[in-house]
Formats: sequence, structure tokens, C-alpha cells
Amino acid sequence: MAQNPLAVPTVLEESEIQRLLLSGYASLPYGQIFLFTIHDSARFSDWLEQHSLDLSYGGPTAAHEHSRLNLAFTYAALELLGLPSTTLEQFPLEFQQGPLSPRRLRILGDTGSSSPSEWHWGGPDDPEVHLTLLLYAKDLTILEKREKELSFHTSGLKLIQKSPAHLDPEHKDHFGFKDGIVQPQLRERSPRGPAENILPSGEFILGYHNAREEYPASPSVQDRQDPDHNLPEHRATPGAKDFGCNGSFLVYRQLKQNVTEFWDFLENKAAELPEKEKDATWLAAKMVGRWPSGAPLTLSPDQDDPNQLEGPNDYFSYAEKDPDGLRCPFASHVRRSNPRDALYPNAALSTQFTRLHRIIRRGRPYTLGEEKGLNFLCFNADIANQFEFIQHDWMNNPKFADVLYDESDPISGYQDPKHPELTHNFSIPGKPLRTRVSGLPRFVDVRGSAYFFMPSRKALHFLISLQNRKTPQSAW
Amino acid sequence: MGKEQQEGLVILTPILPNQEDSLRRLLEKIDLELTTSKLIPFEKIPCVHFLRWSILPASESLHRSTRYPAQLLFSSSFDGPAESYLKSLIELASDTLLEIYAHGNGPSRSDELVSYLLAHRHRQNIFYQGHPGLPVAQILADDHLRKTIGQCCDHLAPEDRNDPLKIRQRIETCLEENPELTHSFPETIRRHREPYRIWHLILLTLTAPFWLCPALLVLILWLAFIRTSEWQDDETQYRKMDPVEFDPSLISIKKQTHTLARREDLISQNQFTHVVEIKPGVVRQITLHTILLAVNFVGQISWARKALLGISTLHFVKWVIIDKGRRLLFISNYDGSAIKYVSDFVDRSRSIPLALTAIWSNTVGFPDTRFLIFRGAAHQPSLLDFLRRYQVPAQVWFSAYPHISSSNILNSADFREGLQQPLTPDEILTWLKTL
Repeated sequence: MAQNPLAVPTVLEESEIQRLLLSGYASLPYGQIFLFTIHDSARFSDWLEQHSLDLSYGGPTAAHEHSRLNLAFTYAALELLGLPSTTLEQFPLEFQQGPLSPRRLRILGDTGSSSPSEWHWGGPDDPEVHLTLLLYAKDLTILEKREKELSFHTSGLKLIQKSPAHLDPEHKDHFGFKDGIVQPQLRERSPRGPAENILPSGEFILGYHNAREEYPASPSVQDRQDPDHNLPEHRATPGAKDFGCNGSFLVYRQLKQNVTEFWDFLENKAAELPEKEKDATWLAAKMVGRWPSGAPLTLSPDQDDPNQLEGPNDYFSYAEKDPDGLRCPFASHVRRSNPRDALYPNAALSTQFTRLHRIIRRGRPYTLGEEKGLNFLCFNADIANQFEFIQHDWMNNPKFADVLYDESDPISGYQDPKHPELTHNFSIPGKPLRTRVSGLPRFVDVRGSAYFFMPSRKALHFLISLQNRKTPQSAW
Repeated sequence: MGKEQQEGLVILTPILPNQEDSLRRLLEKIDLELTTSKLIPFEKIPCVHFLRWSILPASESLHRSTRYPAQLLFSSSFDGPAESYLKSLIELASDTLLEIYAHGNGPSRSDELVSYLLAHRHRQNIFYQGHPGLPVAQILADDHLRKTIGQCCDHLAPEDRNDPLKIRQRIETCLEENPELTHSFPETIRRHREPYRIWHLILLTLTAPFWLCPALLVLILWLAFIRTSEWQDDETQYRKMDPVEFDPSLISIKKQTHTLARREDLISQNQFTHVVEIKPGVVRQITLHTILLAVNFVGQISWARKALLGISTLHFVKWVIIDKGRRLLFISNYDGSAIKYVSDFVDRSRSIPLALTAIWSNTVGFPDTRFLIFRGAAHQPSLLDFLRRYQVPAQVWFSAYPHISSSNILNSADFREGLQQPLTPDEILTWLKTL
């Protein structure tokens, strides 16, 4: 692979990067996620140009400190907005195809009660998803005010869905567990915490080196296709312009949580447990890998202890503290989604391996009428090797870590309705004897799914300029 | 239960011109009916672990003025010997087999099929087994045994759950209640290969002064040759002849991956069938043969020390030199997804990429290599691209245990062995981890 003559960047160009990539907006607890179809791309482009200053990027910004706005496009939208075909075809296949391809539905487990026919949006008969707008605010009044100011009626957009995304005051999900605790720290952005959790930015943002110390694939644009010089030089392909630089892939999945079913099931199973002192919360904690407060079972195996959560305590080693899964079961949700140093017998290689498959999570809970769930959002530079790898090879893999037989992730794993016995079990390692729970139903169901690309400031201007070039009067 | 060794067969037969499409349709029909088993009753074939038919399409050579004609590959891993395995296969599905091979130069009578097939047999340069010494019936029985005993333990009284001896007692009672479980117990406990004989090493060390100097000289000359040839390969011929190598975003590999992946991840295992040209020249030939010999040998001793350098997701892996030394065939049955498979090799092992590079750096289209073993396969995305680029689909692929992983097989065998011998309370604790 030809490496470029330019120096590898060691600092993030934050003012180019949409702010949601760099911050979870913890100080803006109210949110709204909009999904749109673009029905008039010329009008949309004008609208976007008018509102481009409303978008939030990294770095110090004065405007809208009490609210933030970000956006991302699907492949269909980039096609519609006129991105050259030579650029479009460079996007990874999973992004081009989106989550609806039969193979993708299979590996992500979007079948049975999670199949697209059950989705609220993004299914084969639903309007095509083009754009997501993510709006965050300090309070509901500001949120509503900002929404009005965006005047969608002039935007050339048609609303598909709008879902609230408000943070719980204790950051808990609807099952009652603290969520979103461990986030990777970016190496190029004054990182904190232990080395294992500091990742090269290129794992999440295009245009920087990734954990293999090379640039992640980033779609290029030929020099002549960018006459206004909106785009930067391509860092890995000299002579070309970089459309992907400072952008990222955003996975959005609306995940419905079957809360009543979850706790009913646990109450029933806990009553069957041989040890009377073990209750539904204990069983739930074993399945999650953390107690409701977020305290990891690896550090606090017997009871909830919120003191174990704060600061560097949350960085722990499974290999050292819990090689046999006696504290935190191998099959538990947190051990599967980030196996740290205990994926394989060799701790150093496990750590190195896990670092290649991390995501930045920006999910927030939602309530829509009766339905409760999680608006799952994550960023990665390579959907197939990161989000999909975690979902397929770790969460949904009944043979996870080469130790399990017939167990998918007990919280968000896939259950095959035809062959439930191959996945619907959960083993809690014990000394001398393991405890086994069977008949797990699916507690989390998919209600919508789409892959987006979140462009940089420059790439967004390039997209707007494509439309202007299409209509000659506005070019003058 | 028999004591047969696990064996592998690789058979390549010609396909008549214009017969390829009709053969492909027939094979795809067989595969569609894999579970209902109308054309070939796969479930009834004794001793089979894995079986595949794959059409190697006709293709132009990249650096010789040769065209490789279309061929039909049959590859299988089974409990030996080969002849009786083939006989039982033919007994069960003689009409279908005759029909398959009628697309080539196969015989018209079923009693000539065995000798026809054996005549087209290729020697497997590498035959790696992930769970040697375990016949397929044993694998299925061990899985059933562990499941049944597990269910017995689920119903153990709370006061007995903390005492290893009582647990063991309960398990033994469970065995008595289900006597059919013990019928599958083999007489001898295991399967460990005879370890590498230590006196070979001693002899080698003692005679070192006599062979070391000439060997070093040959080694240096050889390395110099390889490095020069690598240097030339980097710039030159092969990649220029292969349009895919010019494709900066590897779009055609993306499309190829898409097509192949449609048939993947249907069960907990997947397969690879991969064919690539060997670089021309005698030195490359000798090098490749030597490497394959060495890797096969190391693969076997490393198994004796339990699992291939820590990787336990393989069932069977084969490398076979075909087409009179011109192409290298790679066949594998493995657990999990293709991305995970390649990542397991490259991202969690330091030595395996060296071995893979040593083998495939002698073939065309492999990522850039240094001194035969460095770079090359150590870069997961390049290795994945190389594998996908030269992968061919298998029209028929059968697994006798589609939901049992290689590590499951080894663990269940450990569980059964623990049951077959008396254990101390401490040993019981360790043994119970396998349940």
C-alpha cells in the first residue's frame, strides 16, 4: 500500500470534525433524533447551506452552547446529492448495501421478531432513509425552539421519524443498568486513563492512523471533480482529494427493550436457582456483567458497590482477576462486547486483538408511547471490522471466546426461533459447578437500522457545491 | 468405536468443454437438498467429517502461456481408510456420482468409480487436523454425553452442589441411569500423538559441525535469491498482468467477497477453497515443497502440545500442489466468520503469519514479502484480500457436525476422558470446568 509523502497527523483537526464524534454531550441531556427522506435535493441543498453554520464541530465554539446539531447521510443520500460514482464505489460494501442485505440481516441477527417487517423505519417497504439530524439541548424549551428554527418545511426533506433521546439523570438504560461507561480515548486528543483504552483516532475518524498504524480506507475524489478546492489532499493517495477525511461511519439502531419480559423472566429463573439468596438482580447482573450502578462484577463480585465505578478503578483485567469467569461470566454482555485481555489465553495478544474491534458509543434511551428502548448510536472507521464484528463474532456467536457451546449474548443477542437450543442458554461459571439458565427469549428487538456517513465540515461544503454546480443560475 | 486415523482425500477430475454449467446446476441442486438428502443421503455416509465439491473454473495463466482447464475438485476429511470410505459413498449414491462424473471423463459403471477417483487422487502436502484421533461418531457421542450429564447436574440438590465428590457421585449415578452413554467410551483414552522423538534432536546437535557450514552457505545463497526475486516481484510482472492489482480500491475484490459471503455463516462453521498460481522457477518449487513439508511437520508436533499455537478454531486444513506443480490449492474447514478466521491467524498469533507467508509468498498475487516470511500475511486486510481474490465457491459443502466447534470437540473429549478415569478431589474441580 502506497503511503503518502505527507506527515502523519498527530493532532486532530477538531474544527473539521462533527462534535458528536468527540463528545457525548453529557451537559445537554435532552435530545431528538430525526430521520428524513430527501424529496427535493436542490431545495435541501439550499436549506443545508443556510443552516450550515448551525452545525456543531469540535474545538472552541461560541454559538449554541446550550444546544448542538449534527448530521449524517446514508449511501442513497450521497448518491442523490451527486457524489461522483468513482467516489461512491470506493465506499465499503456494507455501507453501500446498508443493513437490509440478506447476509447482513443474518449476521446481525435481524430476523424473527427483529426482522425488517417489524421495523418502524428503514425496512424494505418504508421510505428510503437519507439523512439523520441529531439535535441536543440543555432543556426541553431550547430543544423545541431549535427544532422550530430549523424550519423543516422549507428543507426539501420529508420526516420519517423523530425519536426523543434524553439522558437518564443516572445514565441508566430501561433495564435499570448504567450504560455507556467505557469509551475509547483518542490518542491524538490528550487522552486519559490506561494505555489499553487509548486508541489511535483512525479507528474512528478517517484521515488518521488506526491501530495498524495506517490510514483507514477513505473515499477519494479526483482533483478535477473538486474545482472549488473544498476538499483536503488525500493522505493515503497522493494527487487525489479526500472526501472521507475527518468523517466517520455512524451506525444507528433503534433497539426496543422488552423490560417487563426481562424482569419477569429473571424473577422466574431466580426462583428456580438452588441458592435462595440469589435473586433476579443477581442474575441480571451476571447477564450484564455489571451491577445496576455500573460497578463491574470483576471488581465487586458479590454485591453492588458504586464506589468501584469511578475513575481508574473501572479499568480492570479479566485475565488477572477472573480467568475462569467466576465473577463475570464469559457469556455476559460487557465481557463479550469488550473482552479486554481475556479473549484468548494470551493476555497481551488479547488486548492487542480487542483494540482492533472497538467503537465509540453515543446511544441514548427513548420512550415512544408504550415502547421503551435504546437509540443505539456508534462511530467506527470500518463497520465490517468494528460494529459488525462485535455484533456477529462476539455478541451473536454461540461459541464466543472458544469456550461457549450454545449461548448468544443474554441481553442483546440473537435467538434463532427455529433452533432456540443453539443459542438460548446462559452459563454462570461456578466453583465447583456452573449454573445454567435456559430458554432465554430475545429481550432486545430491532425496530430500525441504518448506516450513515458523518462528513467533515469540508466534505459537507463539497456536497453542497455539487448541487450548486448542477443548477447553473446559482453558480453565478 | 474404530481406531481409524482421520484421513483426507483430494481428487481433481477434468470437466468436459461445455459441461461446466450443467455440472454447476447439478451440484447446486445437491447442495439445496443437503438436509433432505434426496440425491446424496449425506447423513447416512459413515465416517465423513466434511465433504465438498467445487468447480475450479478454467483460467488463463498469469505468467505462462498456459490455460488451466476447468476441473472438478472433490475434497473430504473422514475416518480412514480412503478406499472403504469411497465405497460406502458410492453404495449410497452411485447414480448421482455417476452423473456428476459423466460431466468429465468418468466411468459409466459404478464398480469402476473407486478406481477412477483414486487414480485422480492428489497427495496432500499439508493435512492439519484440529482434533486428531477423534472419529466422527466419537465427536457426536461426546457432545451428547456432556449435554446429558449437564442436565443431570442442573437438577442436583442445593446442598450437594458445593461438594466436588458428591457432584462426581451424582454424575456417576447419571451414567448408570443412562447406560447407553458409556457404549461410546473408547477403550484407549487418547488420541495424543507420539511426541517428536528426542534422539532425533540429539543426533542433529552432535553432527552439527559437519553440516552447519555448508548448510549456512546454501541458506545465504538461497535467501539472497529469494530477496532478489521478491524485489523484482514488487515492481514487476505479475501484478501488471493482473488487472485487479491495478484497482486501487479493490472494487472487484469487494464484489467477489459479496458473492462468496452470501453462502457463508449459515451454520457455525465455514469453508475456504482457494487456488493460486505458484511463481515460476526451480528455486521457488524447491522452496515451496520444503516449506510445506516443514509446516506439516511443525503442525503435527505442535498439535501434540495441544492446539495449533493456541488457535483452536480449525477442523481440517489442507494445502495441495496441483496442475503439475503450477498451482497451489488451499482447503479449510473452520469455525466462525471469514473475518474472524483471518484475524485469528494474524492478530492473535505471531508465528502463524510467518508460516502462511512462507507458503504463499511463493505464489502470485500475494502481498509484498521480505525474506520469505516477513510482512505478507502479517497484515490482516492484505491477507483477507488475497484469500478472497483467489477463492472459488464450493457448490456442495457438507459438515457432519454443523453446530459443534473445534474447541467444543476438544473440550467434550476432555470431559469424557475425565469421566473414564478416577480423579482426586482437586482434579475433579479442574475437570468440572469442562462441563
